[in-house]
Amino acid sequence: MSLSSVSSAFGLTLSDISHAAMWIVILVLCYGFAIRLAKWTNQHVLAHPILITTTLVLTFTQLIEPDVQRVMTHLHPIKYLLGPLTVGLALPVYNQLPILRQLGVKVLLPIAVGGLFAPLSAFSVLYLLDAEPAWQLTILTKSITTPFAMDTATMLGGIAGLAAVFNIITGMIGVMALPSVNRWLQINDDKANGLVLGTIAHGIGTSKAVLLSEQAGAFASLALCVNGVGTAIVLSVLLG
Amino acid sequence: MLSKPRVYTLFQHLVQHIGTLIVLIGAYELGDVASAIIPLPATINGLFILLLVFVVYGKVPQFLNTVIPVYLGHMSMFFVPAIMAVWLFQQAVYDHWLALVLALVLTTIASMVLVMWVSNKLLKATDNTSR
Repeated sequence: MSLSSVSSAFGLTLSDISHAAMWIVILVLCYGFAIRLAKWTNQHVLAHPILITTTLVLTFTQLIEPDVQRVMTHLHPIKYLLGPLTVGLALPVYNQLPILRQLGVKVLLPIAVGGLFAPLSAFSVLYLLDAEPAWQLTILTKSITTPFAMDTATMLGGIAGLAAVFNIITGMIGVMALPSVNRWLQINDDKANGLVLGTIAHGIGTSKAVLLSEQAGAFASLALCVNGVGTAIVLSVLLG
Repeated sequence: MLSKPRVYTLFQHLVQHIGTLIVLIGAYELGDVASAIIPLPATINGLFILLLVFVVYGKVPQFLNTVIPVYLGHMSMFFVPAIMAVWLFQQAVYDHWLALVLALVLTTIASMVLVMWVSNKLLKATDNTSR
């Protein structure tokens, strides 16, 4: 059986496969560069690999194939894998179960307060300023971990790509604003910092918390998991 | 030429990665099927299925414990295809920039202040009672 007969069995042409392969290689190379850059800049929040990789890949699309939608189709295998990888978050959730059992409501309450206030306040602003309904729904997912945000936004009738962007901007603001919040409230405690970063700034905040201390990292992962799962469930059940 | 132990480790890594992918894709697809009954995203359903397996089994199988953190560490790359869609919304983003700045910057900082204050109140109480 030749390669072309195999590919046609899946309704793909050889050109589809070679384009997909080319764009996946470009994506991986851009990502490789982005993580180097993050290392060189000592994990500066503006050098976040998502931001750099997306910018580079979009630059390449403008040079090679200006139809962004087609390039996104070529990258579909990568987009698919995000789903199964997100399921892998079961591992950190499982590892956080002991802290959750030990502290219970003392950690759940702050996470729930942030988990409710962050999306509702952002939604209210867009609602009052009369933004499109799809945007209002999308911004509800701004503080939960990106893969859940994208999935939940789609389920609510929002826009997955936009959810990811709101999400990443929120994460960066969270990391940049933390020192000012510490100073203003005169609170600088590893547990509180961890909960704030994980609840409000999801994965980007958690990677910052890990750099602060092991305890901050553990509390941030816990907050990320609880808020991510909790908000996704509440939004899907109420509005899905 | 590779020495025998090195070939062996490479093979072992390959098997671990394939095993992990089978587990993750399996749980995700099961989650997708479950979405028909439970109205949650496939990823959340899949996560609960896998979490349930860990809880019932009492621990995380060694190969998953080794490979999943590697995948999670590089998750950023897998967001990119979806985020590229923002290119298609450029005009809309320009049109709504003020609303977005307010909704993203102000509410994020306000939420941080609130969570920080509540956590400090509650967790400080734990410290006092435990001492």
